[in-house]
Amino acid sequence: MLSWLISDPLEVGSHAPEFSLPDERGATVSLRELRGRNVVLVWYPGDDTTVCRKQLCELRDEWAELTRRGVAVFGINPQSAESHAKFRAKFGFPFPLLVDSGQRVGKLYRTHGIVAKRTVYVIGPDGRVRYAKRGKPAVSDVLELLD
Amino acid sequence: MMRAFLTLLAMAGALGAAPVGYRVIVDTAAFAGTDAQVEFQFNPGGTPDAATAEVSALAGIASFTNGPRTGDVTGSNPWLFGNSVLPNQLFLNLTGLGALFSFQVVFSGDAIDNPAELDGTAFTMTMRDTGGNVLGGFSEPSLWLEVSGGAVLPLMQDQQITLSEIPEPRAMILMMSGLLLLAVRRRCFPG
Repeated sequence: MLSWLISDPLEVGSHAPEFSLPDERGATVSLRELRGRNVVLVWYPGDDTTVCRKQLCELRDEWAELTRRGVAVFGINPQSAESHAKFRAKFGFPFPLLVDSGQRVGKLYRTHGIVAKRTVYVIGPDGRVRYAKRGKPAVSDVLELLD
Repeated sequence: MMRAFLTLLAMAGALGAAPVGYRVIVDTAAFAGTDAQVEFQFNPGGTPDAATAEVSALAGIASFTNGPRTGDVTGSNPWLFGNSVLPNQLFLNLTGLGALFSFQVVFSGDAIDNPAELDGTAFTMTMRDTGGNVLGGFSEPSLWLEVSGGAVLPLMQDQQITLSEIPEPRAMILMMSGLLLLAVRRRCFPG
C-alpha cells in the first residue's frame, strides 16, 4: 500500500559503484582495493545519535565473528572527520568511519537525503551487491549471509 | 439502514485510528525512590519530511528539572522537538521515581500528514542513572519509535515499557461525527 513511498537501495546482483573516500584519520579507502573480500558498508544518519550508536556498537560487539569471516566494515555518512574521530574513539569502533562529503558516494548508493538514509550494503568479493537493506537489520542477518 | 450506516461510520473512525503518538509507561519499580535521568532524541533519517514530537504529561516522579539540550528542542513540559537538524537531544533529571514512570509523545508534520518517503525520523528514549549510565536492565535506547510514511511505528522497546496508542485527531473527528449524526438521527426520528 505504501510502496510508492519506498526509495529502494541498489539491487542485489548489481555492480557496486566504485568509490574512494577518506576515513576519520585521512587514510583513503577504495572499494577497488577491497576486491576479493566481503565489504559491509553502513550508512547511518548521525555520529553519536542513539540509534546509530546502537547499530555501530552491535557491529563492534560482533567484531570477532566479522573478522573471522574476513569482512571489511565501514561506517559512512557526510559528517566531518573530526566528528567521526570523536564518535569512533568514544565507542571504540574497530572499523573506520568514512567521510562522504556532499554525499557524493551516497548518491551513487541511493542513501542520500537531508541526512544519510540508514542503509546496510554487503558487497561481495566480485564487486557486486550481495545484500542491501534500509534500516537497522540484525547483525546476525549479515553474518548468516557471509557463512 | 441509515442507522447501520452511521454506526459503521462511527466504528470505522474508531478502528481506523492510526496512532500518531503514545502514552509511554515505564516499569521503574526496581528503582522506586531513587533519582534518574531520561534522555530523549528526535533525529531525522534522510527524508525531507518535517516532523515534530511533543513530549508532555510526565507522571510517576516527585519532580523533574531540565538538563542539557542540543539542537531543535524548545519549551518545557511540553517539550517540542523538530527534525530540521541533527542531533536533537534533551536530558531531564528525574527525582523520586515511582513504580511507574510515564509520559506522552505526540507526532505531527508532513511525516504524518503528507509523507514523501518511508525513511523516517527516529524518536528514542533512554533511561539513565544520575551518572549518565544506562539504568540497569534497560537498553540504549530503551524505546525507538520510527515516524515515517504517515505512521509511527515502535521498532524497539524494552520489556519494561508499555505503549498505549493515541489515535490521530482526524480519526477521532470522524468517529465523533458518526456518533453525532447517530444522536441527531435518534432525536429527529425516535424509534
